[in-house]
Amino acid sequence: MWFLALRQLTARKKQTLLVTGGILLGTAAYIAFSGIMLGFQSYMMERLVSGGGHIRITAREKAITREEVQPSLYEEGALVSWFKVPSGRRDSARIDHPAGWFDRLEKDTRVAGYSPLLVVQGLAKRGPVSVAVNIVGIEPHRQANVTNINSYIKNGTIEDIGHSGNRIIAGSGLVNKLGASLGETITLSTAGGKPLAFRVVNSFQIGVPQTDDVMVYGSLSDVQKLNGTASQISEILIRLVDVDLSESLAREFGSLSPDRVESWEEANQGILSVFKMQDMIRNLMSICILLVAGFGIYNVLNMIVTQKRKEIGILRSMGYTGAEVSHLFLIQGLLFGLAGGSLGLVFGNLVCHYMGTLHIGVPGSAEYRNMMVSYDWQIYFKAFMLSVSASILAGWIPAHAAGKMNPIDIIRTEGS
Amino acid sequence: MSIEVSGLKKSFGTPPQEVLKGIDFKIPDGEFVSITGRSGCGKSTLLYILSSLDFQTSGSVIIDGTELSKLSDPDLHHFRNEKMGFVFQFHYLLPELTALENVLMPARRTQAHIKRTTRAKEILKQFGLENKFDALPATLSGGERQRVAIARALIMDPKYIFADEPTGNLDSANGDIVLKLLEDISKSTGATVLFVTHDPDYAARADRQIRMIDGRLSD
Repeated sequence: MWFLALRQLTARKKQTLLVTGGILLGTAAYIAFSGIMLGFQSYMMERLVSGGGHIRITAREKAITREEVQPSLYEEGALVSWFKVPSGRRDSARIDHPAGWFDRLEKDTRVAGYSPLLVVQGLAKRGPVSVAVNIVGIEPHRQANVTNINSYIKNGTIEDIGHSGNRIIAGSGLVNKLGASLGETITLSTAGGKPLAFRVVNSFQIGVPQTDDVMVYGSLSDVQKLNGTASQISEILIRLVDVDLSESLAREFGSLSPDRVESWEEANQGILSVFKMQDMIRNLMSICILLVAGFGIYNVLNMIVTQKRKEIGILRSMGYTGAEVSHLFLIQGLLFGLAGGSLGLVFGNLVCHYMGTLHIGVPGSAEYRNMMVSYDWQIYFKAFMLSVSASILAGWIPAHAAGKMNPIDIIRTEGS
Repeated sequence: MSIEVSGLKKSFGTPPQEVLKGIDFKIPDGEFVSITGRSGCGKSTLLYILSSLDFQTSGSVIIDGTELSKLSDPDLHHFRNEKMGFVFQFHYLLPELTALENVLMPARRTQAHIKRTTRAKEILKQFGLENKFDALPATLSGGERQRVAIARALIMDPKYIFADEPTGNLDSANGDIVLKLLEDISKSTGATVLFVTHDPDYAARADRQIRMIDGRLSD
């Protein structure tokens, strides 16, 4: 039946090309969509994972309670009735026992590195211009080990700030707002300490204005001094040997301390749910495209079955069974799927390569790069399987109908 | 006896309308038999039942010692493929295939087409179609197409050939050629040939005529 199926397909070149083209486009569209979306997702994932560590330990903010305040103001057992119950946040959030964490993290073989941070809010001032900023105190070599901050700094590294000496690397947006240039000195101040002068040694550009416009990196000891909180840290970023362990390790670490321990997945739940939504839309669109192509196959084969009633009748009279006649049309559906699917893989790959040459981002920024496109073999496998199975399914219905045809009914009606 | 028919009845529709009303006959091996009668008398229905394309309502058809209605579906298809050849009023050639490929189609079912290619060419030559092996049906005349259809019916060297008005769609010259071919086949191969015809001259050339009137044999 392969012989006859091939002959029938090649005899109807226009129809065959049209249907194969439909499958080709459906397959290629799936590959291009998936390549672009998964490429974007992996790019975002890389930024999320590499930018903020795999696990983040932060000090849990504590509220003031009446039970804590009362003993320091009244004798024990006194009956106190408050006009206004004491409330509000404690002065600052800090990790109470950082040395304990450091010790544990140093010894844990699943941990590739960690970076302690002190994040404080403050004010950056240059001349008459003041801008509210987030000042992040870091140990530069640790921060470089745990995050990919260096990929956002042009002509330098985060280690340019050193371990002391009041040097900072500021977000490019902030530098512009202040009108400062590299090498210039600006004043930083926080609620807890005296204003200090810092020299801007470099700038970074992540591409996210909420970060680039407000963030300043300084050495941990300098920021502790600026804030008047010596030896205090508010966060620890952790990089793991295996990123897939982040959720389970976050749970494990979280059970050891009152500090808040979050995996990167937990911290970025919103974005991950957007990715899930994207995946759903991607799959839905692809299914719709292939359904349309499948209907094309169905219509063409259905029409052929009707046109070929005479031939079906004569095949049956020659001793071909209903199942063999079904195979004739099923093979044609399969060949449509194989040809359209294979060509679709090639065309989809070419589209992906073209998309990969397009530039995205702001020209001149550290983030200006080619569009990231995924070439994961699973996309291609799935696309091929989808197109072939859609074709077989679309071919099965008319093929089944052809196999069910009674030869004598055909001969009687065609002969009359 | 090669074909034995007894008490054959066939009804169609609701309420059932009896088209064959109890038919009995026997045909020995190698006989050249015509079936004649007016339109609607049941001759084509009889031919289709004899050739296993249709089934009787009651009665029995035994061919080559086998009661066809008792065969399983695969066995029936195999029997039809190996032992029967069909010629219809319309040629029903597959338009995508050449004359030679059309002739070999029954043999393809059992992958015997390569082995039978020489035989197919011989038959086509015998039918005056030696220059038409690679011709598509669309490029052949009506008579040539019908000859190719007969060649296709012969490729498996069937013991039984059933022809339903094989000359019905041809002019008299081509009709004569086709009937002569069927006659020769019967004589040369010893195949039993049953053909339905409206033409009394063609019917008269048969070894035996089966005349039908309103679903019954006339005598």
